[in-house]
Amino acid sequence: MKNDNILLHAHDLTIGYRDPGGDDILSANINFQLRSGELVCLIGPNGAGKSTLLRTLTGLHRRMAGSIYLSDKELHDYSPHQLAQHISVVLTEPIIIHNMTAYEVVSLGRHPFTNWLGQLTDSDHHIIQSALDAMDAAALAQRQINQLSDGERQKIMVARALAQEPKIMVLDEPTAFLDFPNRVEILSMLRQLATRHRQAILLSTHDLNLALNIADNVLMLDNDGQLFVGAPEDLVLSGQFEKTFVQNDKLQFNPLEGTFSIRFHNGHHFSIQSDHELLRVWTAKAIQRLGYSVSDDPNATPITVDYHENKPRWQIRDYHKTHTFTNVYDLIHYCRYVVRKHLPEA
Amino acid sequence: MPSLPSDRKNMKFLRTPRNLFFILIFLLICMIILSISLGSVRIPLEQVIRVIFGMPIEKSAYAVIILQYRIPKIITALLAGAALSVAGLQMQTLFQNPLADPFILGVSSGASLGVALIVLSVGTTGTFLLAGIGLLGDISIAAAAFLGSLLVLVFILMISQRARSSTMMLLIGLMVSYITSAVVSLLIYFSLPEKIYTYLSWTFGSFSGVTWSQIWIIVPALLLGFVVAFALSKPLNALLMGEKYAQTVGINIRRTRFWIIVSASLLAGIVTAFCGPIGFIGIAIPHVARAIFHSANHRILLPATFLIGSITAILSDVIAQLPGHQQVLPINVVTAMLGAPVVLWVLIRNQRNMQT
Repeated sequence: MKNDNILLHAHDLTIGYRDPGGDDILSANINFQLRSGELVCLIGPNGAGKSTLLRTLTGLHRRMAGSIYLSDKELHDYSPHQLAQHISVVLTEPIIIHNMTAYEVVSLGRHPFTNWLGQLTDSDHHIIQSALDAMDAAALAQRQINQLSDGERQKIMVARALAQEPKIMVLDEPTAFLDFPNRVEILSMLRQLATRHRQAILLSTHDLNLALNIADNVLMLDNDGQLFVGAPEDLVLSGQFEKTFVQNDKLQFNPLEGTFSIRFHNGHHFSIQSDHELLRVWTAKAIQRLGYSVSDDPNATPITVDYHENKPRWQIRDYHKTHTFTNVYDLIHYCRYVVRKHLPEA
Repeated sequence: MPSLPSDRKNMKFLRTPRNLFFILIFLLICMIILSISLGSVRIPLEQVIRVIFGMPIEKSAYAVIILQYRIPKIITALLAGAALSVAGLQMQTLFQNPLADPFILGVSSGASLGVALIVLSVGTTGTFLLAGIGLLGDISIAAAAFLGSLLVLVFILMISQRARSSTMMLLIGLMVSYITSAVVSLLIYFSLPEKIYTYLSWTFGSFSGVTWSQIWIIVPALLLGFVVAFALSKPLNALLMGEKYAQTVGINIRRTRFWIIVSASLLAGIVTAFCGPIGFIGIAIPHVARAIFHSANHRILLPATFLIGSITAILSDVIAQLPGHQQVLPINVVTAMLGAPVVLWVLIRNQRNMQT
């Protein structure tokens, strides 16, 4: 496996904090590799040590034991300046700089390569421009960085990391402050970058669904400090994914879809009849959201849904009376009432 | 009539850093000439030029005033204003704090303790110090101030190698200030009024009273501080993103922090030793420079703060001299009373750029 594009290799790594009152070890015996062209997602519950692991891998924090190899040389043998030529970082905290354009921020990525005055050569300008283009952010170049939206600013921060022309790019929760479309956009851009530039991209995220969808490899840190490594599919199939994130009965993981849902069940059953799959699925979602089950139980309260004059129409039969609704909101309001009526008197 | 928007665009086109620098240098030269001419004795411009070029003049007193008093004073004011502004800019960037000033690490507190110790606690020197016109001219005050700030600097530098964050350093600087001001208060409490007056007049600040022999100490020391500061412009730019980001682009944080503190403290310490603790310039000028140049780039801001700081200091001194009067105002009164409203105006106008 020697000739396998391995850029970074963690070997029996221990991360944590040194403290005179007793060391705080977050995770021990960490072993994994980052390969070029791979997008790797680091996931795990809050407080498991994701940020500490990323900080340790980027030289911002001292490792406690073990070793990290960056192209056959130990990470801590690199000077900050040499390290910056191999690894670039996007941190969670947004930067606040007044009076600086997005272009100037991206140009700071050229620091490890410029002379002592920080002067940019033509080739530096070319690299900055292509970093902006890669992030679809060329139009933002002359805007002030502190006047950009969160999504735009994050694109600039990734462009800055890209302008550093790193072998490895590390991003700590790059999607933390973003809305859903921006999250998908940033992650899919990173996905493309890894493939196109043959970089290794390591990012931590809380977005498990997206991680399962885009990652080549997943590092999963659980609350006990154990690190599981594998393709997202491997972690799902081994059941480890569910074990790490489903810690109580409030959450359930659907391994067929790779999604999580909130589980609470109070016993009432509804049956749903419909000729239209879309209506059936979304009505079922509403019922489950309330904590009721959908089943074909003969005692279940029957709901029928179909299209009436091109508009969806819900009908619920209860005590031989049929009630009709034109939207889900009113339907579930009535469902609650039905359940209350059926509750046995204490 | 051309439309307003295109006018504005044209204005913006004129506001290139190069043009702004030309304007500032021109203003500085005007200020220098004005400052040589104005004072308790008004010297006609034509006579000023004659003295500078060594031509014969009407009154020989003019030559003495210009060469022995005004020129050393202008050199001092120019360099002191520049030094405090550059040091203030460095501190604001290092600590990511718009309220930081050159004295934030306790440099002036150290100096004031040094001065208080020799002025207030030494019994007989008090009267000796009061003698003579230039109280600040006394080299022993400068030496005490310098030793005081050096002591604080060495202490802070030792801590800077161990401190994990710059916020920690900020707090330590603050504590040093509290301790020294407590000791100074104690000394004042047990001192005679005339000694307290000597100490107080040092705290008012003044560019006068610096002799040529002192200029030969001030100039090379400050130049050294400026050279280090300008050499740090690249890491200072990286620090704009915060210490962690700066590290990820290859900045050695401890080494950079060390040299920023050395340079800023040398600049601020020398100025304080010879001119007293001059407030306001160090905190305000960097903001003015950012507002004028619309830039955060230290390769522009360092020379910009240098020029704006020197212009402000010389202007403050001209005003403090109350041209035509025998009375002289303390520099600190002028810088704050005239400068603060200007800075407020600049800041309010540029609020949009300041908001996060």
